[in-house]
Amino acid sequence: MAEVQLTSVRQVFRRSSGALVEAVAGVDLVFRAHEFVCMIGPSGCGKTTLLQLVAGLMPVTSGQIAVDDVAVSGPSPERGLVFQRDSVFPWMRSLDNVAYGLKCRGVDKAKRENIARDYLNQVGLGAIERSWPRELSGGMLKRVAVATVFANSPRVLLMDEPFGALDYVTKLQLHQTLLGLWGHYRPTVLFVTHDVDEAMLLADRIIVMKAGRVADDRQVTLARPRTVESLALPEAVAHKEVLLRHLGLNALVQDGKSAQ
Amino acid sequence: MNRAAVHKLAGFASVIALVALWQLASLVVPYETVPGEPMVPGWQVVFTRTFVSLADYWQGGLGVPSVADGGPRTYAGAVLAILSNSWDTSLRLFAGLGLGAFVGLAAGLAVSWSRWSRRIAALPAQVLRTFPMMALIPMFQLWFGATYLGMMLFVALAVGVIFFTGTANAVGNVADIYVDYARTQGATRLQIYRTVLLPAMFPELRSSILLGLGTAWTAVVAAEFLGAQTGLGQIIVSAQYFGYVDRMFVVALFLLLYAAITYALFERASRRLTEWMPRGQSANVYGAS
Amino acid sequence: MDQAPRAARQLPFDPLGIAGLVALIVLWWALSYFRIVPQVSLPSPAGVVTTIADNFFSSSYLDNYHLGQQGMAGNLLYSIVNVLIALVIACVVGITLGFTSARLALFRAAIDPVMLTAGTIPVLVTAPFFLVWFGVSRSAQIALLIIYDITIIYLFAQRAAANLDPTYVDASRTLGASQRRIVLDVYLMGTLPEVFGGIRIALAGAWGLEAFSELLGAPKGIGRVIQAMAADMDTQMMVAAIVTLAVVAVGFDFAIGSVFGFITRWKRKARL
Repeated sequence: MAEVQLTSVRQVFRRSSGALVEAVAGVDLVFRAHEFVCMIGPSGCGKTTLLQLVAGLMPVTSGQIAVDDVAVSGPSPERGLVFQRDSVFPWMRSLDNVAYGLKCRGVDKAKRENIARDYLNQVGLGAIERSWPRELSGGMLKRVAVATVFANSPRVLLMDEPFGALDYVTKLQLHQTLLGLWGHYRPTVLFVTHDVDEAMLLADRIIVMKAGRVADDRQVTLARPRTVESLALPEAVAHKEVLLRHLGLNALVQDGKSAQ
Repeated sequence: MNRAAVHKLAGFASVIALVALWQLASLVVPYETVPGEPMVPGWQVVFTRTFVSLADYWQGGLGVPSVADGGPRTYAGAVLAILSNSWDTSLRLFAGLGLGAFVGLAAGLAVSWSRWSRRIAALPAQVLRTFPMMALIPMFQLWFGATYLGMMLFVALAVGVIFFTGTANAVGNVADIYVDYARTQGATRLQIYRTVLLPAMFPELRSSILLGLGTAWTAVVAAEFLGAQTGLGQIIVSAQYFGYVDRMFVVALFLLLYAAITYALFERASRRLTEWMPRGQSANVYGAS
Repeated sequence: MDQAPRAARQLPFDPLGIAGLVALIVLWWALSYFRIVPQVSLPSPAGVVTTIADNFFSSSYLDNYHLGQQGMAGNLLYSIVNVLIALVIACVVGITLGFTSARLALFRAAIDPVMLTAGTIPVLVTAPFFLVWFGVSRSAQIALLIIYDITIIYLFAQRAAANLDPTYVDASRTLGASQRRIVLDVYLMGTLPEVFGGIRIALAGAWGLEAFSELLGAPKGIGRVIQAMAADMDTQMMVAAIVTLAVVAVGFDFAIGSVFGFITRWKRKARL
């Protein structure tokens, strides 16, 4: 829905020992409206830092981040973020969690509970709206988190390896849930992951980060809806080979070429 | 200046601020408890005449006559007074601590032997933990008089409760998997106790040790406050009776110094015992969840 | 569909535990009945109970000691009020200091050494000083308790705030929470279980400390009763006073344990 513009973004951290670490070393990117972008890269490549910068959780060392030409100056429900760790508040029931962003904006109780209920239903958790988070499994908690973020109708959706801790089947189910919600109005999505298959199943565009820089920027034109079978298509395999090589794994042993 | 140095400086600064605050209070509060004895004695008082006046508490001997019999106040007398009373207090403290730790540990292990005994002891243990121990001091005095034995036993009781509940908790918290693992390899119950439960308990035991030490100090000082013939606590209360706040202050400082030293030593020792623990597991000194 | 774990239904207390308590009382009864311990040293449970009943609401006996006409209850109330006042004050101060020191590293560096040292030394060393400065009044009791409670609550509040997963604060920011909301909805709620734990521990020790301070010198209070009875070697009344205090201490612990448990019922139970 909105265009995210990164201009010469550089992020430097100071370690407690005093040494300087350049987590993001000059990134120029434009994420077009309605685009679903996946960012992949090895650990420490700066993808999570970049996501947090777009979220506005910390100020940029140098460069500029803007959404539709308006500079980002702090976190906002317009740039919803689904965290890697459990961010669902354990001391609020599921419904109250989903309604929280609306509560902060002053939406009255009846209205916000209806909206929250609607989104919980959309993620398939209508039955547990009164449950405490401690009673829910990891997959259910992630669904609550996704519902929470969508309840605020963000123009930009940021996701930080949200499904990394889940098992294979749950992950695929959550992909469907996510794509279903996304399909309604198609916010611009920035999805960070280390899972190449996941990136291929979800993204229109895959960006590879390495050592704080963009190493590759690929368009994925596989037809939607995509399934596990789509991963076997030639275009997908070609992408995957390149991506894995970026990540440090060399050629798939597909046709006898030896790994080097 | 890097951050660590600034932080250390901040720590010193706050201590110095407290010292200065005390001095300020001594200047601002003009009251005297008894003519000649300021209610808040400034540091200049404490460092000059207070120390020597402690010679009053030496009963005489070793070539230094007691002040009560007409002898002069000397530094030697003061030093002897401090040493002998420190000895008395420490004896009661460590004897009580040792006894209490031993009995508490043994009782805690015994109670954890079977699931039934653990359940039966659960509520009584909780009652013991919340029982106001200090209220029992007069009872101990009635039973044993103001003797070493009485005070030592009181300390032992207070410490014993800590170790009992701490041990019972610790055994319960040892992950089942370790016990199961030992059982599948044929260990007997006794072997499991010795080789699995005891070492696995050490980290939680560490909290009990530190908490027990704190309790022991509190118990011995309390017992001495309420009726003892000798000991640092007794000096404080005797001085309080006459309004000698400066003497109270100096002896209290000694007590606090001893307590802090024993605490630091115990902490270092118990850290050695738990060296094998993975980093990031912080010991909760009060033993709670 | 993935399964959610189910919570087990449990009684508030274990029936076997009650058996343990009953066993202790039976032991007490046996010790006095069979004269294993002489009556003058350990009165019988029945004797203690009748003494409490007789003297609870009004006691001419206690009145003779200038301990007020409302009997045990009056003195007990004095002690309870002191404990609670000190606890409330200590909560406000200790929690504020603890939270601040978790957020501001410099502040923590400044007051941590003082607070932690205070946590290792016997706080009741200050009791005679308060007696001198405040005289025989309830200020002496309350001052001592405040110092004791603050050192404990500070420690727990600081640790609770430091252990709070920063993800929750970040999440609330991205959901548009104002600073006030972040403090109330996230910071306070998230640290509640640990802070409650600290409050409970502080309260448990406070009863004994209050009794002790009263034994040292107080206008009234259950500790004063114990002291007066000890001076006259009246063990029956003395044990009666001790027992009432113990019942109050255990009762309060149970009560706030339940209340705190209910408020933080959302917490994941630790595996025991």
